[in-house]
Amino acid sequence: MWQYEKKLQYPVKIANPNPKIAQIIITQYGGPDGELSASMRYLSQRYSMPYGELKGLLTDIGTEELAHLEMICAMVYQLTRNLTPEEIVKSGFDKYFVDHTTGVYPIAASAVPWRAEYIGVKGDTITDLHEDMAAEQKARSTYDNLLRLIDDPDVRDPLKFLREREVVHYQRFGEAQPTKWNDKGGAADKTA
Amino acid sequence: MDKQLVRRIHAYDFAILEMGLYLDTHPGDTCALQKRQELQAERAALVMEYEEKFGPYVVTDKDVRGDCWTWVNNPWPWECDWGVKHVAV
Repeated sequence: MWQYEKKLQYPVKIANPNPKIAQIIITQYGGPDGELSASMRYLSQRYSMPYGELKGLLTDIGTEELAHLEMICAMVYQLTRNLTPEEIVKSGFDKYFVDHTTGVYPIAASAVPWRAEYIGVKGDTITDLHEDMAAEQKARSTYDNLLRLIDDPDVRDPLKFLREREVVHYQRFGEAQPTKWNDKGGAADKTA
Repeated sequence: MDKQLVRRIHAYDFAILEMGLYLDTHPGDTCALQKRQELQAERAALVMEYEEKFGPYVVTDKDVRGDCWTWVNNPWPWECDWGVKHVAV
């Protein structure tokens, strides 16, 4: 079960609202390779994992992804403050605004709402771990694209943190390949 | 309020989380385990220093003390910065 700490994992403090870039950043909330997909994927896969180390890793990374989707939502929230009707229309944000006002809805940049088809839970350890490694790279690529398109340093800073986390998660999933565990299910790797 | 002290504690929060992920795939790494325990002790000392100066370092609903349900107080994390009320927006 979960506890909630009343803080963001990394600060989000955006001085200048910008509904135009909010529309692309939101893809890391409700898009195919976003943080909601990541958290649901790992938190769902953990149940059928055979070893405690894998259940721990998927629970811990899945939980961290919930913290990341909170950061993305904080960014969208701060980017859509105090908008005039003219700004809403000019930025193209009117299409989202009409259905959600400035609520934060899990949707991709393409305006497709989040769907469970974005995630794989095959129930096979090797398959699921490979899905996870691919997922981290897809997320990293998406952050690369966001950084290509966004100049505001207040926005780039948390995006760069989130991108780095994808790289670290990829490393951890790579290390989690089950051949290293011994027959009793404990860790064979005892190197310091 | 002390922004620097709060940020240092948040840095320890992150380091401890990161060590935990590493230990998930290297549970036999006693060196890493010891390092994490050192980080927790260092963090505890900073939290004690903070609480002596500024009162309770509220993190979860379990930390709410006194006669008022301050858990529902603003701001919430997405509204500013780290979201910790002791940090100036």
